Amino acid sequence: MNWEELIAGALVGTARRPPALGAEPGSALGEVLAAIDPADPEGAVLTAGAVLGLYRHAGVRLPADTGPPPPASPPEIRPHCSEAAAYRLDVMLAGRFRPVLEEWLGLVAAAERLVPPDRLPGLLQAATTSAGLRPLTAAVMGERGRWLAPLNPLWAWAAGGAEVDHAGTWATGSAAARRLLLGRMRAADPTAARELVASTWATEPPEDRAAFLALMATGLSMEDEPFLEAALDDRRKEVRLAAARLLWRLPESRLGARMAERARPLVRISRRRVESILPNSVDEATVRDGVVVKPPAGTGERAWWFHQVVAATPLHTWTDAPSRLVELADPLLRRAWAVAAANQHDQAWALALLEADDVDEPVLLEAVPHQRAVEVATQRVAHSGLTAAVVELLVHCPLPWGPRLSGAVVDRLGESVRRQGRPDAGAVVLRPRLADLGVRLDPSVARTATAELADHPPWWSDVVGWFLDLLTFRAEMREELPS
Amino acid sequence: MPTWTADQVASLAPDSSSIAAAREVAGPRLWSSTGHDGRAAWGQCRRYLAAVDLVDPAFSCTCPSRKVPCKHALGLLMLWTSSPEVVRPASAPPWVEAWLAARAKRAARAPAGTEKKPVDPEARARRMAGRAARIGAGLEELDLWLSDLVRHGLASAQGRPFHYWDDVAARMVDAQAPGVGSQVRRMASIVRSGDGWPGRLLAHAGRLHLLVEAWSRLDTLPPETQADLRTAVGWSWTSEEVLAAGPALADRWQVVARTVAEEERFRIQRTWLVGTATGRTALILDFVPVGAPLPAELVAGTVVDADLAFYPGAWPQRALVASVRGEPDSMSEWLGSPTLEAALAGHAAALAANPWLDRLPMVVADVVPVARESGWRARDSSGTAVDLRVDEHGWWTLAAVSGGRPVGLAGEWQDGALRPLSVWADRRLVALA
Repeated sequence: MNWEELIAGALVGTARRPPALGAEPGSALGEVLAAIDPADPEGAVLTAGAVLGLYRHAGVRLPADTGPPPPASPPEIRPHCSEAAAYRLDVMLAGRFRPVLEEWLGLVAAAERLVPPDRLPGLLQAATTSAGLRPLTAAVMGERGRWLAPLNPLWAWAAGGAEVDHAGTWATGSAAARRLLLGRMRAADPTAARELVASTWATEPPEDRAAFLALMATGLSMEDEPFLEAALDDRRKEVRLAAARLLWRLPESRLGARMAERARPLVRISRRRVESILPNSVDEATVRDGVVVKPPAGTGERAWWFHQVVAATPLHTWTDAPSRLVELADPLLRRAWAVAAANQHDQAWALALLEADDVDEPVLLEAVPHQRAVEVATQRVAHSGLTAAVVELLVHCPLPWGPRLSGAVVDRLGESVRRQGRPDAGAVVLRPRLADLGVRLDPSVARTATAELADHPPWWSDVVGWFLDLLTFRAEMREELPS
Repeated sequence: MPTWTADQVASLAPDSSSIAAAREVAGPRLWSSTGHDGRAAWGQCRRYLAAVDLVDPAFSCTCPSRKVPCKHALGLLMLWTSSPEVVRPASAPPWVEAWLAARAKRAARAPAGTEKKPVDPEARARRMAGRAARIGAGLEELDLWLSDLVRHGLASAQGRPFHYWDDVAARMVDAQAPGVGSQVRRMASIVRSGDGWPGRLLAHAGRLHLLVEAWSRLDTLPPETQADLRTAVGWSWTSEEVLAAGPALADRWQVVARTVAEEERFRIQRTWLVGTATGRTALILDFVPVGAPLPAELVAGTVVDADLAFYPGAWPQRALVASVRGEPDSMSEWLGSPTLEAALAGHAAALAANPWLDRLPMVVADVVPVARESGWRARDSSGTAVDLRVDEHGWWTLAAVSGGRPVGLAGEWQDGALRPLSVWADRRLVALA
């Protein structure tokens, strides 16, 4: 009896197929099998199963591996980070401190260190789900990471040269996969990305067309202008609007020139005055260029039209010095210019507008030099405290913040948090934003913050605890990496 | 003074979320008034006072958590192991002294109540005979069930619901043969294990049948086989019985792998050791209820000078640590077999001695992990390969640590595949499971 026959019989059952217990004599195995009592067919099958199973298990022969051996990873040039630093990575990957991971990767890259091999799968996994971590991950994964990534299709983004099939994904991928692909391509090669979109534009459903346009904000340039100008005549309103909003950012566009024609009569500039003249109506052509007719609640329609036309007008239309114009302008005009300066990333205008206290356009901070942005933020914090508008501004303030701005924020934070009694409106706004501050503040203020916030009413304890944990964690992780 | 490693501390955690929580409170800035004096470590984290008895591990904290140890006690230990400069030698504050004194008092009282119940050898023999008979009756019932299975055919087993297996397993537990119970539950997973399952199921059922046969004539078998049968049915040994069974084996033992699994309401820790002088392998098994800390004296990647007492049997494998000398060292060399064939060579002898051995250790040097059509494998220098049974994370960790170069592997050989538990490369041991 051999193993295969035994199994075949056992599968159908002894009731239907009694075992045939013929055993070839002469071998030790044969003798054992020959001693099995055939009078009890079930016992005989079980015993034979035990004997043959063990015989095969004990005498197993391992297969030969015929495939080519894998190439070995080249040696590393940079050293690995310390075990303490790697352990901190484990903590971040485990979840709660995940918001700090990007900063940690930046520190490791700046210290010219690498993540140890056994941590690479976890890190690559994290960067696969959070695309924002990819450039820094690539910087700290070393030769081992470049060797490892191509082996797992999910990590193709880290595999470099061996690129994925763009055209294939674009033709057959899911909506999410196509958007992901377009976003990545826009960052790397905006022209190729636009040509990909244009190649299938006519057949795309409207919600995809609008989504693709939104993604084209990355890498936007005058090269995109003809395509966007054509999209202004799209059948669907949301597509037309998305195209117009992108063109508002391109001061050299044809749309910009048309808007300038509309805006000039609305802003009357003389030697001593700058006057805003509200339009009485908007025509079809203006609506085609992205001006929305219906105002939001609480805004008059003429003021709303004025705001949009000026915000969409290239700032170079106004030839006087921005500082003089801003000084003479009324609040309505200033706000429109602030939106224009933020959209067009115009540094001179952004600087001038930030001088005026009543402009709340946080994006302006991203248009001015880093040092100036931090100064402005510091002034606002010292002047107004942590109001909703200032917190919004802070979130747009580029990193690093440095000890001065961070110290100012902590001072004001202490005041807000220590205030007794019922939480006021400011506190209600601040509470959910505390973690946003905790990942941005310079960690050198951790000690001050711990002291400042030691006495807080119970209403604050959960968020303050988390805020201090974040700061402390970030301070400690710096100590583990040479700078 | 005991020094603990991060790994050791982590293994004290009642569950994995506690480890994560403890890591988060293990920052130096969250702690004040910390110190240790060799007997205990203590400190204040925010408003909670936490202390740990380092000699006879126990934990105290004023926080409301019901976990033992809580995240503060664990965090304190992590802080102490990672930043000894923060938890400095000091004399214990009064509240720590008071706690230790209360513990010492309780410890002194406890044995007084429990000990000195004279063991009546006759009563004991009666109890043992009674249990053997109950197990025997349970096994006979199992044999009828196995016969039915074979009579109706293994194919019929495929459509069975889980309770078909679980009911029998539960009856084996009632008959005081929990080891057989878990073997029966395993049959349920073998049926769902894909290609080749009928062969595996038949071999498994056959071995259970063999167990029933052997138990029915227990008295006629040699004492080692009797011991193996007792182990196989899950009749546990007391440490006194193990220590009395024979002389302990002294060696410098490498801790090559440690893995924790959850089963039913228990956590099971398996720690594999390799003797540097004797070449013997040993398995230390620890069971604790879910939520309780596991023993953590053996840390993977270290070498301990210890006496091991092996459980009786024809092929002694499981052992307990009778005594430890000195501090553990870091492992500096890998003692794995040079080829996979050599690593398997002892297995036939092991199975001949004890056919109910289910898992066998496998420690091998110089294998390269390779991904093939058929699955993940490890290939040795002679071109022979073994299939690896490993999850995604374990595989990618193994691949990353290897980088395509030969590494050492330690794991368990079961059902024709190797379950790798740790990898040795660049003079470091990395856990895979």
